Amino acid sequence: MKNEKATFSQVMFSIVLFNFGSSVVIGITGGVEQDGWFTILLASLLVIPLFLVYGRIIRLFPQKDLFQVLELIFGKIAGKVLTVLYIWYAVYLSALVLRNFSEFIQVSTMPETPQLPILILMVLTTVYLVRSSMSSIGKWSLVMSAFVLAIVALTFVASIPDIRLENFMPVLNHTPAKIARSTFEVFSFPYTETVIFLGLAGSFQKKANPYKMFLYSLIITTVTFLLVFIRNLSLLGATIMSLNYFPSFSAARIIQVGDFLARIESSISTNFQFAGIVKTACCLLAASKGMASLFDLDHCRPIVLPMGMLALALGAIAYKNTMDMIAFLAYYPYYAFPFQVAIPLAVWVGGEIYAKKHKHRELST
Amino acid sequence: MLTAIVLLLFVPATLMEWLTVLKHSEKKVKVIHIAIMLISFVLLILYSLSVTVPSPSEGITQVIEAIFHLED
Repeated sequence: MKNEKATFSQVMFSIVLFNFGSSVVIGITGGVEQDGWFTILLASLLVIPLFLVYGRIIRLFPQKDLFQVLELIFGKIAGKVLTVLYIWYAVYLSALVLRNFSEFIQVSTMPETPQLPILILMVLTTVYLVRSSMSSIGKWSLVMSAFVLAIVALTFVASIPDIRLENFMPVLNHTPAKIARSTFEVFSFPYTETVIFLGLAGSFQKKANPYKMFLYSLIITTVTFLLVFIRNLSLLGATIMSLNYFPSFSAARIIQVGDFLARIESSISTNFQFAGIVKTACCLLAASKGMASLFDLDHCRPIVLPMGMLALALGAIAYKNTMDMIAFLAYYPYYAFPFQVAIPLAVWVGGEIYAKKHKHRELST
Repeated sequence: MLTAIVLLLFVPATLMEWLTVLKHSEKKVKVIHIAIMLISFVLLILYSLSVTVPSPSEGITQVIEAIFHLED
């Protein structure tokens, strides 16, 4: 594995594709239909303080990833325990993403193909990408982001003639409790899954500004989500959009440009795959780095394939069917909250205390 | 058929790893590698033989339901 550090734009677009990943496949907003635009905006505002916390953690401990920071702040034993938790979070997240994509491929295009071969192909590709280093993931993300975002923009423009504004009505007719719950879901999936990048921070260039990385990627991601949501809602309508397991794919089937361009859902499929590979790779790399830190290994490269196989196995057994996969989304924010919010906040507070202590020590010596 | 796919995946992958990445690795790395590969292999073989393996998602769902009563 080469030791190249990822640049600012490589990391930023990795975060964009990471967030775009599985959330656009299975729909961003659940349960609030035509009010989804409001929950996306609200979630993106609520996540800003947390992204500033993530950025501060990276600033306090430059060139160190989360697993090294956990041991520095909480001591060897507590640090290792928290490292195990984060390894679990990262590897299971990569398993869930893999399963999202294999379900999508099976349901949309290959209903008679078993999911295992699809999972295997994705895992092997991801393992190859992870072994090539964070910089390679970043370069892939840079190139693919342009393609992915261009497809989103083109499908949005192509859908304009079919937009029906009545699909956006009535505005904000859901209860505050329902909107709050949906906002919490969007906040957790996908925005605060970005916590994974704390585990990769050791691979970022020192001069890369972490605040700008997170905030700029948040802006790009939010705009992309809004375009996707508006496209899906205007083409499908609120009821069909909420009933559909893969609304973006279904919406793309309706789009027709003149008499010469139709059935462009394959471009949406391709988009999903490119973004999904980045999301799986980032999770897998974080899990491998965690394992290397846990066992004090010099490199994580020998661990990447086994972690990939573990993600594959967990992905295969994660759900019984597509309905279970969609139903889990309601529980995921509660499960992920400690990893995404509680522990990072504790790390930030501990980090500030640690940094102050060391500053005093340096000044006194 | 699925079992054959799992074996086709693991046997060459393990062989290639041993001949390349693990050849000059420490004993600790080899032990960790084997342990994780073994767990994954067992899970996938059970899955391919249609043996019901408890899903972590079900466990997570049950714990969260017990604490937060989301279905009420």
